[in-house]
Formats: sequence, C-alpha cells, structure tokens
Amino acid sequence: MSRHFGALALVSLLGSAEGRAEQGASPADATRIGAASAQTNLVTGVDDATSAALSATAGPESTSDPSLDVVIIGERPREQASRTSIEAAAIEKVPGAAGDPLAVAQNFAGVARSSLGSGDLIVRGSGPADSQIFVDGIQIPTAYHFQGLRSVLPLGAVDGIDFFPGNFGVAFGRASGGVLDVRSKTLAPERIGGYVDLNLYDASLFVAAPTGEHGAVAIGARRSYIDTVLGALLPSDTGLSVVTAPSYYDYQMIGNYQPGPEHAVSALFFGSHDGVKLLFKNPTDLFTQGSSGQLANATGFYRTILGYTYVPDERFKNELHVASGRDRIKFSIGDLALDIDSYLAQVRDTLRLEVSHGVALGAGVDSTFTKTDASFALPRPQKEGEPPANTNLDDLLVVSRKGLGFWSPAAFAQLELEPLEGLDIVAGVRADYFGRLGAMTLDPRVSARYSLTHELTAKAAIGRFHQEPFFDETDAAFGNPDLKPIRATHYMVGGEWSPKEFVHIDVTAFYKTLEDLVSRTDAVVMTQDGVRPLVYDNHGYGRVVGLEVTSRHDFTRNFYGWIAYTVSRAERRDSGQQTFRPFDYDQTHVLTVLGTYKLPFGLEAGGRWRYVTGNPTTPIVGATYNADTDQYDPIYGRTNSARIGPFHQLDLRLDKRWTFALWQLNAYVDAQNVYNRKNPEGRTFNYNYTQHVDGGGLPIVAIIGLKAEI
Amino acid sequence: MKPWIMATALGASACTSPFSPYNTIESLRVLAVRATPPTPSPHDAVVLDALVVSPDHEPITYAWSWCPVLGNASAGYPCLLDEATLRALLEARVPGGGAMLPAYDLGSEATATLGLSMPAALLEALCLDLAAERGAARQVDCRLDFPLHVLLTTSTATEQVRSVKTLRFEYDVGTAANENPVLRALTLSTSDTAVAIDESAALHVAFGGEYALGIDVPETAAQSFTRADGTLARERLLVTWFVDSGETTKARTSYSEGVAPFADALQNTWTAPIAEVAPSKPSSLWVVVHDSRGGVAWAFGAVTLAVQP
Repeated sequence: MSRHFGALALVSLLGSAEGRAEQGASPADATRIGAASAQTNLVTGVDDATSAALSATAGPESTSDPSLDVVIIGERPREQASRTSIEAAAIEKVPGAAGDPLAVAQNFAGVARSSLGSGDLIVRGSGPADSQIFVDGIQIPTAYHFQGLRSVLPLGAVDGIDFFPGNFGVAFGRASGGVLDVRSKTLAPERIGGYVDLNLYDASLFVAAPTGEHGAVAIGARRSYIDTVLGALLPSDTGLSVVTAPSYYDYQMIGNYQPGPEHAVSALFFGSHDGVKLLFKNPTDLFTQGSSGQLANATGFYRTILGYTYVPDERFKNELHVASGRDRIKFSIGDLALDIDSYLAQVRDTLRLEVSHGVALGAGVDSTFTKTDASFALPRPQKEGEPPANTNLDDLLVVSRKGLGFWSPAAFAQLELEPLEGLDIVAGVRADYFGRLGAMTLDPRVSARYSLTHELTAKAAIGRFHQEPFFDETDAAFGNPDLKPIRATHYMVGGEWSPKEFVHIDVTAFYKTLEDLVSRTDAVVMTQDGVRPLVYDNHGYGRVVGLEVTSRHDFTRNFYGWIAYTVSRAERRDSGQQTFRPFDYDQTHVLTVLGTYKLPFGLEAGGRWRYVTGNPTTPIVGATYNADTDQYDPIYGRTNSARIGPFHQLDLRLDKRWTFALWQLNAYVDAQNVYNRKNPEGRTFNYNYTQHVDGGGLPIVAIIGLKAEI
Repeated sequence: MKPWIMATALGASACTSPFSPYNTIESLRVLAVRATPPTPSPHDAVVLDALVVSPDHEPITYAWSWCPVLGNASAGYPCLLDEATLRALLEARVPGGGAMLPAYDLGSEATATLGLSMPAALLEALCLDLAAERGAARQVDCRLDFPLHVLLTTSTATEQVRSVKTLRFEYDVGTAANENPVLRALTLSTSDTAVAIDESAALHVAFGGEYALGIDVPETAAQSFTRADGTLARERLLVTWFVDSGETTKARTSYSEGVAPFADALQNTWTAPIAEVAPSKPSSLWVVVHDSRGGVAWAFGAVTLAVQP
C-alpha cells in the first residue's frame, strides 16, 4: 500500500463520480485534510457540512507500519441516505475475500450471498442484473474474471468502493437494485513505488511513478496460473482435450495531472480477458443431441476513461468523465453459441453549485451509446423463478443482428437543502431515455437526514428507479420488442447511533416494490404475419421488505470489524398468477461477523463468520422420459416452495509484515471454511430425478500469498 | 463463462457421481420408443413400440396415447388440447372431417398404430389452426411438418414411467424419407474374437473381466438428407449402452460427421461384475441407436458369468 494513502484516500474523494467529493472542498483542501489526518491519527466527521460519519485510523506518516494505513468504512457523504464505503487498505485485510476488492461487498448489510463462484451482486431482493457496477461512474460489462473468480481490477488499481444498496442518488440510473462504484486509484507518489503480488490464483505487478511536481503515472498487469496447472491435474483418459487452458489477464494504466488547485485531470485505461477452449472427443458428453464437442469462451473488454475536475472556488465544482470501450463475448458450448461485439461510449458530467449557506444545486448528464453486432444459437434462456430444464437442441433460435445502435441519454438535477440545523434534504429527479425501448422515464428521488444529537441521526428516503429488460427479452426472435422499462420504488427509514467515537450502529428498514417486471407468458399476439407468441409481458410484480443492522468498530485499539445482519423477505408474482412466490435469492437471514486484530511483531489476524438461510428451490415431483433426447425431463412442483440447507462458514486470515528500509514484504494465509462445513450450494439429482444430494460447497481452502511493496 | 459450464466440462470428465450411471438398469426403464417409419407422410400408418426393461421381470402394462399440443416439460408435458376441440377444428375445415382423426387413446398393447390419413394440405391447415389457438402458438411449429406427440405410460405393480416422443408427419417427404437405423448385431470380444450375443446367454464370460463391446451398424445408418435451408447434411448417431450389472467405460458414444468418427460410435468396453456382487442370473446388455431425425434401433444380448468361462 502506498505510504501516502492517508492523503490519497481523501484526494480521491474529489477525483471522480458524483457524490464522492467532499462538498465544496478543493483539491488543495483535500491535501490539508490529509495532512491533518496524519497528525491526529483519527478523523471522525472530517467536515461537519460534508460528512455524516467518516472515520480513519492513523495515517501512514505517523507510523512506519503501512498496515496502519487509513481504514475507512462507513457512511460518508450525507446526501446519500444509504451508502457504505470501504477503502483499499481495509479491503485487503478482510478475511475470506483474499484481497479481492469486489468480493468484500458480499459482507455488507443488504447483500445476499451469491452462489459459489457466481460473483452475483444480489442487493435487497433484486436480481443480479438489477444492480450496476461502475468504475469511476462508467459502466463495465463484468466485474469478475470467469464470472466470479477474481475482480477484473486488482486491489492496486483501486482506491476504494462505494456501495449503495438502494435509494441511490439521481446521478446513477438504469438500475432498479443497487449500485457498486469502484474508485480507481488516484496517484500521488513522491518516488517510484509499487508491488508484486503472488498468490494461489495469479501474479500481479503494479508500479507508480511521479512525473514532475503535479503528475503521476502507473501501470499494472495481472495474469492467472490456471492454465499452467490444469494440464498437470487433468487425467489423460478424460476424453477431453484442452486446446486453450483457462486463463485470465487484466491490465491498467493510470495517469493523474493536477496543474493547480482548480484543475485535476485523470486518465484510466484498463481491460480484461478470459479465455478457454476445451474439446470433448464425444459431443454427447455435452448434449445428447450435440454435433459439436467444443466448449470455448473468449470474453474481454477495455475502457478508456478521461476525467477532468474543475473547482474554481469552494462553491462550484464540475466533474466530467468521457469513456469509450469495447465488450467482446464469444462463447460456445456444443451447438450453442453466443457472439457479441459491442462498442460503447459514455459521457458523464456532474456539476454542483452552492447557492448560499445550506442551499446547493446539482445537475448533470449521463449518456451512453452502444453499437453492437450479435449472433446467437441458443434456446430461450432460463429466467428468474424458472427451474432449470434440459436443453433441447431442436428448440434453438438462430439469430444474427448487425449494427444495432442505441443511444440512451439521461439528465438529472437535484437540490440540497439544510432548512434546519442538522437537517439535510436532497431532492432530485432523473430523466432517462432508453434507446432500445424507445421509452422515456422520470425518476423523482428524495432523501433526508436529521442529526438529533451528536451521536444520533435519523434518515429516510424514497425514490423511483427504472431499468431496461434484458437484451434477449426485447429481441423480436427471443422475446417481445414492445416491453416497457422495469420500475422500482425504494422506501427506507432508519437511524445511526455512535455511542463511542469508534463505534457506529446503523439500523435501516427498507421496502421495495418492483412493477412491470418482465415475466414469461403463454399469450399470443396477432401481427400482420399471423399469430406470434408474446413470450414475455410486463405483468410481473415484486415486493421486498427487510431490516438491516450494521454495527461497526473503526480501527482503534488494534481492532476493527463489523457485524452486518439482514432479515428480509423478497417475493415475486409472475404474469397471470394471483399469488406470490419467494424470489430465487430470497435469504431470510444473512449474518456476517468480521474482525481483524493487530498483533505485535507485524502480525495481524482476522476472522469472518457467516450464516445465511438457504436459497429457495423448486422441488422435483417426478420426471418424464424424453425419447427424443434420451434423457429424463424433470417435473417441478410449486415454484421455490422448498429451500436448500443453510450456509455457514468461518474464514481466518493471518498476515505477517516485514518492514525494511526501502520495501516491505507481506506474507498471508487466507483460510476459507476452516471447520470444513459441507455447505449446500445446490442440489444434484440422479438421471431420473428420484434421488438427490445437496452439496457443492467449497471445502477447506487455504490461499497463501506474498506481496512485496516498494 | 458461467462456473457451471466449467464444472460441467470438468465434471463430465473427471468427477465421480454419487449415483448409479444413466446406463445402469436398476428399476423399470423405458430405453427407447420407436416409430416405424420415423418421419411418416400424412398417409402413413405408424407402428409404435418401445424397449422397456423391468430388472425383476415383472409384468409390464402399456398405455399409448397421442396429443398434438403439449405443455412444458417442467409440468410433465400435459396435453393442452382436448380431443373434442381438435375434432371441432377439423370439422370446421372439412365437414365430417373429424372422423378422420384417430382417438387420442391408442390402446394398451405392447405396440400401437397411429395414422392420420388425410391430405398434406389439410394437415398443414389443421396445424395452423392449432397454432392460432390461444396458448398453443409456442408449442406448434407448422412450417415443414405436423408435429404431434406420442405418450406412453408403462407400469409394473410398483413402478411407472411416462415417456414422450415427437412424431413429425412431413407434408413433403420427398426422397429423403428417414428410416430407422439398421443394427445387425451386438458383439462381445473374447480373445480378440467378436462374438454376437443374444438373449440365449450362451456365451460365458469371467467375473470381473473386461470385454470389448461392438455393434454392427452399416455406415448408411447415418443417412444423408437435405436441411430446410437447402444444405446437405448427414444424420448424427447417438448410441447408448445399457447394462444391468457391471459397468461400461462410456454410457454413450456418438457419430457426428467431421467431429466424432463413425467407428468410435460402435465400440465400448464392459467390465463384468465381480463374483461377490454379480446377480445369479445372466448379465444383460442393451444397445440403443438414435439418429438425429427420430430414427431408433436396438439390440439385446446376455452373457453368463462364470469363474472359468
């Protein structure tokens, strides 16, 4: 970790998307704040006008031990009623996350546990695709290598993450669930530095260097080892040829330039690639009707993000981000194929003007343009609430689309008021045009916070959110081109209590309705070409209610940690149905207890224990022998009327740091599922579905790594 | 890539399942349902039969039926159109035409016969009428043929298996009429000599011995045909090797032109059960060959297990 992290963490607050900056602070202010943190070792409530609860541990200048770099976790800017932020230094030490920036979000209140290896972000009863993941406010197509193995951005390229489980501000849109925004690294090295990280998954390198007094550059790269070990592990008589062993790599280039206190320029170029190609000698190992034994995947993307922040005085601030990139997904398994080649451009501009004391105006635009070529040979995909079915290759839809161009502009405005001492109200509205749907939406949102005492704050918010259906759902061949956007309304009310400077308790009750959900239907529609199945309509409905409790202990007295507990009920009502059913990822109880203790001799020990109610599942009540495919097709009972068993797991992490004159060496072991609980990830059946076993969870796994920092 | 795909890829090859393999017969099983001819013309009478195995040799009863529109697999393929409605649709097209339709119930013999006996144009018109029925459009594709579904319920005193097979009455069969594959023999090799085996169980093999299995299928079993888009193609073959004891190296083999060689589809290896677990009766082996256009063939053989064959 950079020795200047204390300053950087706060400078980064000024450097990117909406809501991140300290209100009215200039880059110069930030530097001063950073210096202050280094001197006082503890910062709580950096600026009364800007931060509800910001806590930090000792800055690096105060100690020679970089493990005591700034640790921030908690609600930061008060314009968001519900927001959790965590900085890179804290991410690295979270047990069970193996230093992965995005895996840490799984420990926050409001986040359901995703299935092993899926990497899904399931927030307050919304589906994985209902939440958006951004880097500096710019959309990225996937957050993980191989859909959940490792984040596409290594920790070295990240300053921190901001997580909004709901009721996020008008600057964010096109999501009906939550938002996770990754803040890229803001550089300010005084000399060349960096790190080399070797662990079970991959090796990475990150080097940063100053370019004169006002700028800095950094490059980073990472590559996995999987392909080198797979050949040794795979038996020779498997009937499987590994043409291209699975591998991933990513790369990052960062540049920052700040010629004066008013101007800050940034550039970020990063990308990711996953590749694998396997060949089954017998095609029927994949599908009984198959004619191809190939399983291939080549998925990648890159983004270029240019940023410019203009802060002429403490009353005005403008942030501009211009991004372009390309997403490439080429995937095939047997006779199924998917090929998407998409170019993307995005412009995001946010300005904020403090009109007078207690009154500020904000406005901005958020515009995306995509141009896509796509081809598919797929059956209609399984949707939420639908149990898995065998693939019948006779039902494949073969579709090719060229030059699909969609422009989706959005504009937003908000008013920040402090009508009473301690009362902050943010009211805004966002207008979106969804180019693919030809539909316009208007989302009013309002949130309020009221500091009842120095220790106690009440908060409430209500807002409307819209998002597009999936691409296939509005495609003429796969679905219904006349679908409308999905609409969600978020309600939350809660309170924050800080009985001590380093202890914060947050209790939030939330309720969410999901209207116009896309739902499968057997209805047909008359067209000029005759009768056409409607396939989907907007008659689905959902409701989610829950309570989140977070108790957080900031880093002090050698300890930090938190307890996050969510109790919730998420339900859906499908098109044509009168009754509700549990949502696929409805997890009644989600409890995370997490802590890290700093020991003598450069040692640091941490643990995490999780308990999660098992996911709903649809029972299988029989099976039919399909003589066309020579396999049994399961017959399902009432949707999601059963559950798999609960999940609980203990993870432990031990770090040992050696500090030398010019560099540090950190060795760590991150042991997951230390009591080897056989957690049920899913249900496996025999060929005719008369027998099953629950299982598939991770056994005890120890991840060992070495990180050398200069 | 979704992790389950990787898991499938590796799991299919390297992992062991806690369950008996698909090709091990331990209970009442329907191993295949055959239609002759497999892709009939509108005037053909189709003979239906099935390969049904009860390991305990219990008496088996059959209940055959058909339905033009089935619901989803996840609901157990319910018939979505009752017989009276179908007859009414045909009556609307051709007065008195309802009598042309066979009853949905095709009887309870081991074999059944199904014939529609109507002109291709009328069959196509009827198919389009079905597609226009509310709720039916998703299940009916009338472009090249009239697809209907044969349902078979097989039962013993304690078990029941329901099966479904799609039967496509082609409007214009032309010269590419499909035929069921020819499967001449099932062989087992002892000392490099392939011996045809049959139900007599005359061949003796050793407990725990490993034997090469083969089937005698002519290359013409994978017929050439013209696809809907005009391109020429060759049928794929799927071969499933069932056993009631011991185990095979592969549950299935296959032929796919340019991908999986024909010869590979015809070979497998069977390891006979060891004496401690072997049944007191002969070991039975069944092989079913499916072509990719609905054709089916099967063969059965048994061998006697002995300490010194």
